Amino acid sequence: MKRIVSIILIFMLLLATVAGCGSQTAKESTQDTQQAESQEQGPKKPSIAVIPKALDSEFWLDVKSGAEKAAQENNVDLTVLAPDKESNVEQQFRIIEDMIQKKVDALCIAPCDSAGVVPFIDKANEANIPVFTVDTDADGGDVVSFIGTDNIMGGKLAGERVIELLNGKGKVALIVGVPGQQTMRDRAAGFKEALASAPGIELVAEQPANSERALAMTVMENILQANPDLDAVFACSTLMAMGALEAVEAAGKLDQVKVIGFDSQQESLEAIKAGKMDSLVAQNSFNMGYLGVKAAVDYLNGKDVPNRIDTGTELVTKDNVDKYLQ
Amino acid sequence: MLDNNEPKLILNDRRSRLDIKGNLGEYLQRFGIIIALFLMCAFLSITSPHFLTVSNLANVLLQSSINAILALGVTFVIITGGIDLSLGSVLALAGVVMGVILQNYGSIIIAIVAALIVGALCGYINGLFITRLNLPPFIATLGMMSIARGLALVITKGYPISGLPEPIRFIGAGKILGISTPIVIVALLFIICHIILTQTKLGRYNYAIGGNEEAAKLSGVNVNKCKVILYTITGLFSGIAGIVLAARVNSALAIAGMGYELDAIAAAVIGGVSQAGGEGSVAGTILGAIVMGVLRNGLNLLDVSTYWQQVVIGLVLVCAVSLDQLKRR
Repeated sequence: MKRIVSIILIFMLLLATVAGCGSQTAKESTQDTQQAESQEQGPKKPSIAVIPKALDSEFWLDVKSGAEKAAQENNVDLTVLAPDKESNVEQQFRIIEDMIQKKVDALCIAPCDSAGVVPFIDKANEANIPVFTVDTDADGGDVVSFIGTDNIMGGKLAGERVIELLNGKGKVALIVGVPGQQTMRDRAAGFKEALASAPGIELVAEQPANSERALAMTVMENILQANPDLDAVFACSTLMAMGALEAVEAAGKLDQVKVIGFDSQQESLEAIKAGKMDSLVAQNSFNMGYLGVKAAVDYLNGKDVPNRIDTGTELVTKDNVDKYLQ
Repeated sequence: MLDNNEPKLILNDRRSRLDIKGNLGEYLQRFGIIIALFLMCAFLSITSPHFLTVSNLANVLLQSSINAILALGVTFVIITGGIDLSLGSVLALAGVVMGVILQNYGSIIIAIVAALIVGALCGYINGLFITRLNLPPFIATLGMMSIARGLALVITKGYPISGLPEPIRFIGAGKILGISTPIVIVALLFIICHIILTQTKLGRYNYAIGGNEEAAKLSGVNVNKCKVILYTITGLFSGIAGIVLAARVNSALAIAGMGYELDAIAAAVIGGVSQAGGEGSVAGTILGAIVMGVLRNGLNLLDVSTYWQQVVIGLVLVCAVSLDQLKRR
């Protein structure tokens, strides 16, 4: 008897947790239905799901707030769901499948894997759900529009900065993100393209650090061990740049090794202001969420949407960092 | 001379134990998980109009399939009282080996067989580490977790191998008589595992080792040989899961399946496979995998962030194990 009581208690506890997490949404959806009932003649509120690669950095949180702003302005029923970490590729695809089951009106996806996402875009297409890619494009499938940074341009910006800093001569390292992501490939490609114009600059190391800070620190420590005379490092994401910076600082080589990152984030901006980090290529992640949802709304309203929407990049150095720090 | 008879003695002993004491507890627990599943489904059907549809339920089964394959495999070693932390890494290594062979030689059969062999080999090595070097399973498979992941990254240099040929895609995304292929694969593996565990000597020895390893050894069971075979089976299943996962996402990734070992162990434990060894069934394991699949799917449909999902799954795990403890009391 005691056993059965305990079992019942445990399940009630469980249900309460699930209910607790769900209640907020449940409330929202009742409001939605009420709203829908009250304005039955009016157009149906479109539902759009935004699926970033993760929500573990300011970058993705900015995408989220951009999407939320656009959703508010355009009266959209918005869902933002992401896997716990960027490397959890299949979890993201499961979320896409679940959103297809939920019959959302449009999907904005930042694919964790550009090739792997294709069959899932196909699935959405089969269910007549238009797909938009934000930040990272997919390798195939029927995508209405790609809303994101021109990453090759961004990588070039970083490469040109390195050439300028080193006067066209020196040893450079490159830290890339999760291999296989189009964004990361493009940034690295743009960077290398820029370096190609300066034969005096040698790329001595190219290592992946999966967009993780701790891993980037280890990778950078190893690069510094192998190349004690390194002059500059370009890390393809802000978290990796911070990790690399920590390694450089720990090695006491802040004056020797210039660290260049990608993406602005409070902490890295402050590092630039303090003169620790040289510069970073800022992309407008807010714009990605904002323009992504907006493009989806326009498309659902029958307007023409260009198949490529650039959200812009800028090199942030000590000179213009204040603008970003606000 | 007596050696030949004694294993039977142990088995008889185990059976009688089940008859007298095990029945109520075991049924209660299996009921428990079915009740939990039912309650969850009822709750989700009420809160989300999209949950209780044929296509979504098929979706849940499809999404649970990779976890189910890994969990079926790890059930064997958990029953021995061991553990395998290398599932996710071996999955990635097998997938990557398949991808590389497909990319360079194009032979589908060789690629699949090679992936299976790699999986089984990793499991075999785990078994050797544990039996010959006397390493605790936790340490041996922790080592393999790192070795297999590292090899997968070395082989691919971290780049994904994408765009797999159509017959392979069929394994992950095709349908047999309207049922997704991964679900069919899970069903077949389930039957095979059930037969191994309930109808074969190996299955009975498996429970005997988990129940009391020393007693099993003394009564003539070749414990080391059995363990090596069981770890090899677990590795083989990781290999199968690797093939299915690569086929499903249309690319072989060296970083695939990170953390999947924990999901698989959780599924088995939620399904009543006892971490203390000697108890558990594949039916329970499958139910455990479905419970986890339903939770993830339902919480996604309810827009619950994946961070909260981890909290919920952790709670379910703790509840399931506390049930196990209650049963023992």
